[in-house]
Amino acid sequence: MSVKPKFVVGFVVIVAVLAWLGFTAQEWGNSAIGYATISEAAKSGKLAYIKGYWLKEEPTETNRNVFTFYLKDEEGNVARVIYRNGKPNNFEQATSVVVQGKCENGTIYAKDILVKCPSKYQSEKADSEKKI
Amino acid sequence: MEFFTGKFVTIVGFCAALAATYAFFRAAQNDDAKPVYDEWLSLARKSFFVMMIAIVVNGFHLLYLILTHQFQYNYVKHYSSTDLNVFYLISTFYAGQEGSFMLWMFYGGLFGLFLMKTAKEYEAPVMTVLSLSQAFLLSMILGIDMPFLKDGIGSDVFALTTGPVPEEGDGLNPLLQNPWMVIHPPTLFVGFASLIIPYSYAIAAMWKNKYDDWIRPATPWVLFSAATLGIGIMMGGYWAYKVLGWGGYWGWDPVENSSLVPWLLVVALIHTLIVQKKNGALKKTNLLLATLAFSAVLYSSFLTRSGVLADTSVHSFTDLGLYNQLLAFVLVFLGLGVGLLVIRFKSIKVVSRDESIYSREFFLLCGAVVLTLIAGVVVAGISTPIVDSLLNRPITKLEPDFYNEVTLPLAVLIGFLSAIGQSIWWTKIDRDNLFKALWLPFALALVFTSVLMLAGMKDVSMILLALAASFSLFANGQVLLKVLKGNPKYAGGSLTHVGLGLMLLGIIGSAKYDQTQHLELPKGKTVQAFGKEMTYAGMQDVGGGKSGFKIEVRDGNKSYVAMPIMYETKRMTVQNPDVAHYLTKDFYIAPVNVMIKDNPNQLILKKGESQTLEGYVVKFVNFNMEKSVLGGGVDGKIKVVAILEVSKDGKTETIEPVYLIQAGSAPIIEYASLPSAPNVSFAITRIDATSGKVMVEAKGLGTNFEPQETLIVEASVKPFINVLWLGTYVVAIGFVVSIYRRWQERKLKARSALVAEPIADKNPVAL
Repeated sequence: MSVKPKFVVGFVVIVAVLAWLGFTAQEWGNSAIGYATISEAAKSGKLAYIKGYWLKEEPTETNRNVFTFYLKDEEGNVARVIYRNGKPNNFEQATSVVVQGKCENGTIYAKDILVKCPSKYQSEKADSEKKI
Repeated sequence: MEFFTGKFVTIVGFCAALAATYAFFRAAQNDDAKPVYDEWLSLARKSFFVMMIAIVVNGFHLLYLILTHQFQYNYVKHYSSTDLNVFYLISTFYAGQEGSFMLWMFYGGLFGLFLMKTAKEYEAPVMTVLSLSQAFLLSMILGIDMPFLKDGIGSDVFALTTGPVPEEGDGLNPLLQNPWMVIHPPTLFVGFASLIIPYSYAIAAMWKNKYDDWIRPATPWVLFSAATLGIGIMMGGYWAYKVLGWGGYWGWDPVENSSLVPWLLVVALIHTLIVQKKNGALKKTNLLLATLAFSAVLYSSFLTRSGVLADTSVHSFTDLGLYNQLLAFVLVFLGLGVGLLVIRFKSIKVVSRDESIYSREFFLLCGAVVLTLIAGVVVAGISTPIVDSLLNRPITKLEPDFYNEVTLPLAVLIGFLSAIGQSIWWTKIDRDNLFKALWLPFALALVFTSVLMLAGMKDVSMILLALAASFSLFANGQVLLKVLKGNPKYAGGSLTHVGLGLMLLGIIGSAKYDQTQHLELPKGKTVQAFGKEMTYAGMQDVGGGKSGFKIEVRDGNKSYVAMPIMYETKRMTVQNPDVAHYLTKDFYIAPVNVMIKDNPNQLILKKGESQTLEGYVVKFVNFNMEKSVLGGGVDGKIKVVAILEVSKDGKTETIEPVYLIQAGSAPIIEYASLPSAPNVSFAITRIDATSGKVMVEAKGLGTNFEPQETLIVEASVKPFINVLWLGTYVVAIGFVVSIYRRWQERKLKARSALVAEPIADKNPVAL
């Protein structure tokens, strides 16, 4: 019995779609980054978004491209943040910051810092993070 | 009085929209009884006109309030200010949620007027659905308190501010003060608003149980939506690249993604509509896609306007308490479309034809499936915050890279599918003829990709994408040439796909082979990067309170002056990049920061504290209150005199430097010299009143200091980004050509499934 080419193609298409969905699910697991407090991030050691406020009383340094400051999260815990891409724009004006990074030994090594501005605008993109 | 000028008109419009919905509904239900039909139709049209008048009156009213700076109105106060020019004042109209809803309903009304003129037998059912959507939109700006609803209905655009009338408004977000931003939202909203039309036609088809005819009048609108939405999205990307200095044009941000989904679905719909037109298949798919495309617009409004993304997108959205209303809007329209489809499912005749896999339809379907898959994964991605909160688990956010990784294999597929599918011209083709048609473009694509590999392309996935994109480009180019020789009216499809190939190639270059460096440019020193010599020459006022940063860029023999701009506003620092266009690349300089090096010869002292500087022990004793003038001075000056004790080698001297503060100008700093060494002097350069600390600066010590200014920039080379922009233009032109053709064809009756398109008779480019 010969198999119609149409069914072969249909089978291939379905297998391809399923394979792609599997790949997508796997990538999803790797790319979904959760919001966490400092203590949660310290416990998991994983990359996380940590939302908090700039603690102005503690030293804030800009040394060449390395920017360090102290972050206080919503639970009131404080951690030092080290960021290697210079001081983010609008850092001083920010009402809150979201640090994307890993927390190791009480220090957050930031990969990215998102700055929230006290803006009431709803315009799309306008107050968004810099860069892709 | 305010009630009758603003809110009242909205209420009238809302009621008229409801009346129009009902009357069009009755007309549609009675379309076999001429006199009854005519009566309801005329009532419906009148109601729709009343609604349109209300929308226009409201629009002019708001515009008038903005142009005359009536800051007692909340909306005007929030989004405009007196220092804006007319151009930007007009754009504050749609800077907020309420205004953008007004723009949307205005477009909806215009489309309605147009359809009442042209839709003929489809007028009543199509306008029923459109009027219902208008009623929903108007309800968003009603601002009525309801006894059982916490937030009431809608948010009144004409609400007054509480308290005294403000003298100045908050102003328009500085990032929006750009010509691109003036036209980007209105264009995008044309696309959003127009998707109601294919949706309404699909509903009409299911309502009337006629599944063949609706696609002809709907097709030009589907193309129109895809074109305007696509152009709107690209404008946003261009703005992000040229003005915001993000360094990119697409960031997979939830807000960008939510405008991409309806576009992907409507483009998928274009492909499946062509299949139905050709052989009558995919009827249900078309009805479903038309429903989903408009529902995606509503879902995207829900996500961006209800505040649910507030935590995961850094975009700030004000929650106006419209959550339930927006959710109802999505559910009603999605439910209507899907519900009708379920009810009619059995009565829609399935055309089963034994299609060869070498048919154009097979490739059209595959293309639509791939586009829908992308739309599906993006929808899943932007829905994560909602799903997380529904499942009561910590909120997660997807990295932008996720989308890049996942869509890459699909982009490769799209390249191949569009190359092969477009080359199968309308009629079935056998394997030999297909190879004959495709060998040349494929050979060219292989050569092209080999050149890229020789130039250093190593990443396998990028090589595949380059091969697919160039294959699509050459294959569609070949088709385009043939069509142009025949009938240029049919060039739309191949033009659009040529543009697609160009865009994919541009994306490879600019996204994957982008090189970025953080550079520090000390003033006056030459820094080498990207084979260029860059010298920061200093700050320069470029007008409007903005600072330009003059950088001399020397590239071999050629040189130019780059001038990225940075300025402070009330709320944020705004950075505009400098973009130099070359034939094959852009050189992009985005300013990051200016660092002024601290003077090493300075101390910060508390009262009674002493510190050592180059062997001198400096003690801040106190302020000299007798000599100081703190307020009440005749000329408004404040004079602060400090007492410093300076000791060296056991010898102590007392000096009294003066710090003068004048209203409206920089403080005057007077250095006081040491009596024993007149070339060594000290001054107070800053006073912190709250902590009581002072900053002391010394001159004439061993180390000399010159203030050093360092500009930090993010410089990058973006290869072939021009190809991407060129591709977008070509796509846009392709759409225009297609819309023109389909608009002319809209009146032709649907042919029986077996009759081929006219082009197959006249223009046998089937090769």
